[in-house]
Amino acid sequence: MYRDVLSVLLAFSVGMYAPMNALQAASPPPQKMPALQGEQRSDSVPQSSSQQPGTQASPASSDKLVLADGTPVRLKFTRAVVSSLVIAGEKVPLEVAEPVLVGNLAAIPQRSLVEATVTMAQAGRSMGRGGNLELKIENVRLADGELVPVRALKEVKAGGYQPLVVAGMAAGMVYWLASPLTFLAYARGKSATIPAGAEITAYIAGDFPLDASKFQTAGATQQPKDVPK
Amino acid sequence: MKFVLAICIALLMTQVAAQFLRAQETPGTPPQSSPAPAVERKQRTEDETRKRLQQLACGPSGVHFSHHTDKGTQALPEQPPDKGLIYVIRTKTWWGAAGQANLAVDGKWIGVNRVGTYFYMELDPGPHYFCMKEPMETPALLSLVIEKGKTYYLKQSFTMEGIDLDLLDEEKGKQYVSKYHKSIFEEKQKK
Repeated sequence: MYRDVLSVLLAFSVGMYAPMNALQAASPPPQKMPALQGEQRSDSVPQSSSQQPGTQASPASSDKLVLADGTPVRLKFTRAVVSSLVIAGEKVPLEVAEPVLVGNLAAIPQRSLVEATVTMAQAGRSMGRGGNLELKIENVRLADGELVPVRALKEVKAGGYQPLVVAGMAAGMVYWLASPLTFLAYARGKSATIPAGAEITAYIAGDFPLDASKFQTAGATQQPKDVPK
Repeated sequence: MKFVLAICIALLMTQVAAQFLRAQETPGTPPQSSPAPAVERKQRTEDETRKRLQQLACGPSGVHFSHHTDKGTQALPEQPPDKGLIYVIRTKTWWGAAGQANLAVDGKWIGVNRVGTYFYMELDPGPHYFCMKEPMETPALLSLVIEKGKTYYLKQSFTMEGIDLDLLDEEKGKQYVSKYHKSIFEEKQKK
């Protein structure tokens, strides 16, 4: 009698309590900005530079200004992107987190808008498996309005809790008193999420000569952050 | 007495499991975000997104395929340079083994697999919407931007809960194609 009760309670705590915890752990922190859940990857290995984001893109010579191949562009998502709320082909807004300077000219001003394309979207799947999300950024706009290509890819996989679901189901199949745990098979995994404010670095793809007369110096283009509109 | 106690505990567990599942099915709301640009469109809910994708991906009802498996030597197609090549693979699972797994792309039923078979198709570059359907189940949906000159492997799987359509990595996809047989099918004509 007591053995029965004990085994039911044990199965209960393994099957129910643990997935709840896994769920909480998988959800993105509400306020902290750039932490991304699950696996993430930014493609686009810089080919010709060892520049750090936010530093100056070195001019090719004293006369010609060139936005060099591999120059990093730090971008951030202006809103959260959830794999169950987007469809491949849709655009997602980002903004430039730090201006890209060539000499003392702002080639790409801070807070310029950039668009990423959703290249794969999959909501949470059966048996507690998480969803997948993949985005690609193809170009950014310079201060003079010209579009330049960039390399940037972001993949996010949501954490799942499939082992716990399987364990609960197995317990339910082995012992009839734990049979309600087989309903755990109907638990869907979480969707992949990129929180608002998360950052990604894109890299300029190719060398682009700039016409200095079309660009402003860095100080002139910096937008104050809290200007009321 | 012992029996009644066991039933009570089983009922209690069912109730808690149901609550857990309800919590899972609550439509997802995006986490708090910073102010979005004014041009941004209104966000859809999870249900609206799913319905929209289902409209884009799944074909009309009433389309059926006759099917058999080609167990002969299999010549695989060359990768076309200007299109994407997509393999659709149904893995071997005992769950749902008797059922056919239909696949629709962009609102048209394209083909069908049985257990341990695959078929392939070519698609133009750009976004495409995939729908896997089995008569008794809610469709599995996937949206993907296809690039020219690339090969994709989609896996159709049946689980206790339902059906799933997943994108496989190339290595796994090639393994499945090498050991599975090609699915031959034809749309049944209405009489």
